[in-house]
Amino acid sequence: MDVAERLFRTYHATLVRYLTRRLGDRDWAEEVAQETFVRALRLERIVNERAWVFAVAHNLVRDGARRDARNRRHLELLAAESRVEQESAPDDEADVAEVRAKERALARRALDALSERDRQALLLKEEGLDYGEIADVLQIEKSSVGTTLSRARKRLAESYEALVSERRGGSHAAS
Amino acid sequence: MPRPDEGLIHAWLDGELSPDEAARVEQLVRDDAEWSAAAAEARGLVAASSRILGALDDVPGDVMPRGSRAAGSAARAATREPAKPRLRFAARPWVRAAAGVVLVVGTTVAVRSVQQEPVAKADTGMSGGIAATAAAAAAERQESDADADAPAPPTAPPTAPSTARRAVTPAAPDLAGEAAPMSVPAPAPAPPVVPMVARAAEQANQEAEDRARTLSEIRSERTAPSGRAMPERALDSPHSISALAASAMLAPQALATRTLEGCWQRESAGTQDTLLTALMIERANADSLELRLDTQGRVATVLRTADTLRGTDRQRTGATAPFVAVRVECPPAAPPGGEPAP
Repeated sequence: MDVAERLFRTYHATLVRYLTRRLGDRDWAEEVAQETFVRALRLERIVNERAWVFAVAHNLVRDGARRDARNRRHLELLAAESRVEQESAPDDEADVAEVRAKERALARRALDALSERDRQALLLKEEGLDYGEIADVLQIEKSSVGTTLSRARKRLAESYEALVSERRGGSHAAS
Repeated sequence: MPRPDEGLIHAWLDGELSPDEAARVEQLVRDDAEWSAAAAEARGLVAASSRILGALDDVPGDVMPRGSRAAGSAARAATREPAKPRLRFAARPWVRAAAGVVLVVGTTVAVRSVQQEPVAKADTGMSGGIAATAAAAAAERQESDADADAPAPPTAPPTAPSTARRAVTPAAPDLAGEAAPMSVPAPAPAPPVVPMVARAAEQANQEAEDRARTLSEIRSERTAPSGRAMPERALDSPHSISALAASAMLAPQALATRTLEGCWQRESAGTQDTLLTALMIERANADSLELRLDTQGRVATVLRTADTLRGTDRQRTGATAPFVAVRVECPPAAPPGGEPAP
């Protein structure tokens, strides 16, 4: 098994999940992941593979998405909410699907409410990167990763809770 | 006593502190109410954020508009048909029909039983109940089988265990529970994969058993009473080697005991296959013979003729070399109690 194959087998699943969570689009995530592994082929030696893989993916997304990130997120939310609204007269399982779609939309909005650095730190931590690797990817001090994560987690939870309350308030008002 | 440092507490929960620092934080959390509360909150936040992010995993493709086709993609995404919900048990006509048939048959049998055996009259009601139960159970089994045969529904990719989750799972009684209602809903019922897995395991076991039996039969056939070389047909046909290899693969713990009996003499170097998996089989002379398998588990280096082996010889030094060996007659066995043969 050559290096590229090993890298792919080791990191592809987690990288795609990280990118999917970050981008909200699995196809796009797959594209970025592939580009990341293509770049890995060009290198002879990588010191910290996991940090390198996530850093390249992080930079690819950042460079490609910077110009219209806000528009994309907004459009994605519109699309997700529209799908939820289109689901009518659901049975029990459709209810679950609807709830999950709502959860997903809320989670996306809550995540988008974080700063870029907080969001990245959180997503990288969820993929199992340690503080040193997160610091490498985000180019921050390792000593500040704990603070970044604590802030990110708190804001994510608060933001999500606020969105849930907002939605509940809206549905109560409607009924 | 220092004020709680949230970054430090999160680093502690994430297992990122040195042993000394971790011990210090642990002590503070144990002894100080403020630190304890902060740690409890941090645990809850770790759990909540993981659960919130987990909700993002079930994401379809082509959601995000790309570049110049942003508006069109968004419109397509926005008007996409919602996923068709999986049909439920009660909604499947054939299942209801099957249940009905079984119910009728069961009831008929029960009624006949009552007519033929008056003694069993008292059990009529129960028989009907049993029939109905059996019908329902049969229908349920059919449903279960149908689900097992059907392709598995798409599911979100599994979430990799992160250190954060490992840290928080066993010890998050405080706020993790409070965080629960605000995040993910109860998981959807898992697809009935268990019957499918059980059937597959049963089938694999049966195949392994068959192969082992074949191997055993081959071995018994080739054991010559004189202790001399085996007959022409034996383990050394490609089919037999395949059976041996497949059997050994299915029972890897038995690899060391598989013996390719007979006497073989190295003849010349052969070509070496670039294959992935290797299977070790001990030879009678205590050297080992490596049969190389391809990714599908097929034997790639097989006998070219009835008396020739091609393979990789792994010597006791650990060195390996491709080889071709031919079978030769074994030297005569020493008579019991007699002098060893020269």
